Amino acid sequence: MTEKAYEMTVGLEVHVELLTRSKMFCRCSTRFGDPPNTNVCPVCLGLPGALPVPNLEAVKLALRAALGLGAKINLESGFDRKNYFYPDLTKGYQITQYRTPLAQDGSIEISEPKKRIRIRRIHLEEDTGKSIHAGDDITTAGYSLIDFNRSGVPLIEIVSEPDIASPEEARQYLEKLQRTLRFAGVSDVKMEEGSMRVDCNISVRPTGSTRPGVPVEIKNLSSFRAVVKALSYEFERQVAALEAGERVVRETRHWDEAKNVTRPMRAKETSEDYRYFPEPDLPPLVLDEAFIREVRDNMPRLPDEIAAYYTEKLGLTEYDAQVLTLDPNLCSFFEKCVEKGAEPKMAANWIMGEVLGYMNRAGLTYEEIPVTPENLVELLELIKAGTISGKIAKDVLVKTIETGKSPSVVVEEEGLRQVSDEGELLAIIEQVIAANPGPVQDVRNGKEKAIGFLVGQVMKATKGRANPAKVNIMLKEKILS
Amino acid sequence: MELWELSAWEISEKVKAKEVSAQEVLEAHLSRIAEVDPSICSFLSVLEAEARIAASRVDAKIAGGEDPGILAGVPCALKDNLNLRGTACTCASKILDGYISPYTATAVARLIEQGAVITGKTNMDEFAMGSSTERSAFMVTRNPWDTDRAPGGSSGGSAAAVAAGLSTVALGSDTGGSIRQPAAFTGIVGLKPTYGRVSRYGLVAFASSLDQIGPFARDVRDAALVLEAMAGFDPADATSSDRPVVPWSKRLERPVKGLRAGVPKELLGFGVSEGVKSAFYSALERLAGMGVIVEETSLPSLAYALDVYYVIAPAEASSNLSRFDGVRYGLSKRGKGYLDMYRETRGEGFGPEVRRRIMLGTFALSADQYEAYYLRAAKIRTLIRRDFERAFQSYDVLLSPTTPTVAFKIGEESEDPMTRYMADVMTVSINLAGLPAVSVPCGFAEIPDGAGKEMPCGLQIIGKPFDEETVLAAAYAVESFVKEELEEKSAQMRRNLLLAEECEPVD
Amino acid sequence: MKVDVRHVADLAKLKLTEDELLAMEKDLEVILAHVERLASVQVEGVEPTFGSREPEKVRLEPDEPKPGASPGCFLQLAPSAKDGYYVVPARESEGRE
Repeated sequence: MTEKAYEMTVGLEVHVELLTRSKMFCRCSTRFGDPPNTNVCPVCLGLPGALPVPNLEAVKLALRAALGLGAKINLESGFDRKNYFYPDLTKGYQITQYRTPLAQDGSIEISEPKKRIRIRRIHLEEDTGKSIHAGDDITTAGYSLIDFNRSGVPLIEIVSEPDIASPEEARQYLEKLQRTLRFAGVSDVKMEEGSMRVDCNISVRPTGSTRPGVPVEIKNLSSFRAVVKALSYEFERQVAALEAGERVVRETRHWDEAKNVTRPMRAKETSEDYRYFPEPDLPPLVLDEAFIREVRDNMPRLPDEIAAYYTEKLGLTEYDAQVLTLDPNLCSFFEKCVEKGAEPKMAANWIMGEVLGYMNRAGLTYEEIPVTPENLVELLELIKAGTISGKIAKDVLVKTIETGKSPSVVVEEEGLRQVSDEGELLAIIEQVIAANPGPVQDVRNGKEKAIGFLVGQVMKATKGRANPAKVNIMLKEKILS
Repeated sequence: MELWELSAWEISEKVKAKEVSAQEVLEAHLSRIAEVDPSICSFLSVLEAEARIAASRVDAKIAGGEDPGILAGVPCALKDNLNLRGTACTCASKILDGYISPYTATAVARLIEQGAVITGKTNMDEFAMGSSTERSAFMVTRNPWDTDRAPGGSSGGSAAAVAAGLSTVALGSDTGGSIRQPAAFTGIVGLKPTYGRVSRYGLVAFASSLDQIGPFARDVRDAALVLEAMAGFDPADATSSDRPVVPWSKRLERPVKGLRAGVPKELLGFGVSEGVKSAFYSALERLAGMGVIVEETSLPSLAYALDVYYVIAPAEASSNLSRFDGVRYGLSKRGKGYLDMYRETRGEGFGPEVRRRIMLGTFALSADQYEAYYLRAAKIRTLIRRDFERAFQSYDVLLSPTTPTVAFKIGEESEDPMTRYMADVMTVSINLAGLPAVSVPCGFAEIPDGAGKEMPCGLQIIGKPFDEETVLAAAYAVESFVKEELEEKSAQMRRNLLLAEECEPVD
Repeated sequence: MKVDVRHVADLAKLKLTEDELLAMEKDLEVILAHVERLASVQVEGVEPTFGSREPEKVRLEPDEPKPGASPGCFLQLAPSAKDGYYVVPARESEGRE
């Protein structure tokens, strides 16, 4: 049995929470982490008689997402009701966009292999409340606790075409989507916090077959890694089933993170009939060109555009540009450094090397860059002016981060200023020469490498404060003249 | 004249002039309710304490030189599907028995701002589904003209309370005729404003695209006054219109001479009784005598209005009533799991008519039936709307009897639901087209084998969208020629009520 | 028109007894037989009317949060509550859906 004989077709449905201050259809706060059932009102609790009024900012953010994903915006769309019963759904229906989405026909380009994943639709809807199951198994718990603070939080759903052919492509698609939405200021797109949620539709068929495979939906994916693992697992499971001559059932499966398997949830053949119909409480959502232009004009720059600017105008490498455009905070940090006079390539190297390295070790996120642009620029200036060496600068950076003191203060307080007084250096060099006759002889005999050892001794004696290039020249002069 | 016999505009003037206090007006009504309501059963709850506070507030405002508003001290009853903070809102359903609303409907808040004193919540068909108020889960309301008869519905409690002199004015809701039909059955004025004229925020939805709140009053001026107080844009209702509010109560005397009135023959073809027909035609003659140009016209698609209505209204209702699930408020039957909770709470909490309409609507929206039923009905709704638009190119108003018959006897409604639904045949098309319409008393009809006993009849006046002004002016003209007879007979009816027997509670 | 009342009642989450189901089936068939007339109406090319015609487009409200409810104001309406949460029975074991 060779798995090469089968191919997978994957489409992703991604739900993203919009960064509004109030909810989609009422003005309750969307603040995270408040006590349960405190950000609620008659509208988001579905009290009898309450009516929805849509949020302007949510529409603007959804439009930004649409523009960022190159989608076609529908000047007239509308809201529909999706009817189903679930304890965390307050009205017995969710207000969504079914007949006509806000936008359609967008795409995302991935790089390995270079291809375009089409986006079918982008539409607005409202979130439900959160159920906490008392007990660890949904099927055995006696009761659930419900918090409606998230009920009515605005979401967009982004539905891709089934253009994804591997778990790795899915990962790239999601990363690019996440990055685009984060840069566009649409959402903070965090899977671990639930502001980005991914459902996969996967079907498997013999390679080259024109008959589509049976679609299986996978839910409960809490990270990109889980998406990759679940798709790989599901592919193998379905291939094994097909090889064994079994039928793949159209169903929804649940990813079990702990056991690394998917499990069936409910058969889709008897799936809910959502009885969609136009939401009679809301007139059509009609947008005009001026409104869309305003959103377009206020659109933050997106990663591709920024990366192009970095390579073309600032002389960074493609790699540097890719790393710096991982996150908008990182970009803005880098650009502030450049603005304040840092040489772009040097700033990029220091950010990518030392700053990100520190953040990695300390487990900091991009929102928590531990040094100010001012301090980093000052540090780079100290290096350029020869006041400190690059090596010393690394320690200075750590001290600056940990004490909050500016690099020049750290340098002064710790006496780290580079020794460049020739008289002082000369005295040390003479001591080193006197103490190391062997290596000195080697240098005289033309063994260039031995000079390194002597430079090291001088650096040691100055606790690294000497300028190694200068020491090198002075040593040679002293020994060879 | 007793205080409970005064009109709203008279009360507000007298209260403002300090001839009488809001508290005196209220007390007169509270005693009238205590005396008469046991035989009418119009109130589900009387808000004595709350009303006393409200009335004293109006009096304090006047004492302090503040403007108490255009409804100063006017007692007003609310259909029990309108939310008033801190009071029950049952929709006459077991599923909301004991529910205390935490907020106030916009229309109600506006009446209170204008000095109205809310006296209680009135009986109705459960969730406004019905035409007789017999489909309340709690009790059957009686028609004050004949307590063996129904007051109509679904806003029958409000209509009966106003007709019986228990409340000066009242609010109802009209989805397919639920204000106009009971107004006609009880000999009072009932107005359904243009869709979007009055905010629906706080009105428990039956069918969202058809529902409107409107006033009941004993004369046209009072109805206009209440509309003035509550109409206008509300940011909390996305379907409310920002058209300016008109001082309708001051525009009633506009001459009707030259007014073009069409009589759609489709609204006269459905088993209209002889008595109703004769009252209607004699009103037409009087109108013609005042210079109104009356012509027969045709709106062919109205033949389908009832069917369209009985697809769209249940469809919307099935969704609107999904929120009654036993989780956040109201009745909750806790079974093994939440699915049992839903089935048992809803199965037990909703009465038979509500369940029937939920089933019908759920069916009409189900994936296999959506196109054949809901979508097709929505398209025919367009044809109905267009027929009205065409008619209004030639006419300023359209006229019809409000109901095919006078008030029927309690318990005489047909077993067959479709036959029952026929009672709405004259009124539903107006909701489908979102138009304003009023029912104004136009005379009396003898009831068949009733030994000369008469019941009131209503004339329905339908207007162009947002042209309540013309509708009300025409109603005022009709009122001018029935006023004398109506006032005399109504006064007699109200006196007789003290002799009526108490009604029995529903089992 | 035959109606699968059991299925519709399941969608609507209404518990009906066998007798009620039978009566419901009959009622719905009577109503639908009447409504059947709609099938004969020529609706080709006719746009549906779903709701109000005015306002023609939905008004959008600025994103300004209003203060939340005082804790418990709505929760006190709940049939069952615990520690600030609404309490509902968990889903019963499979087989009923």
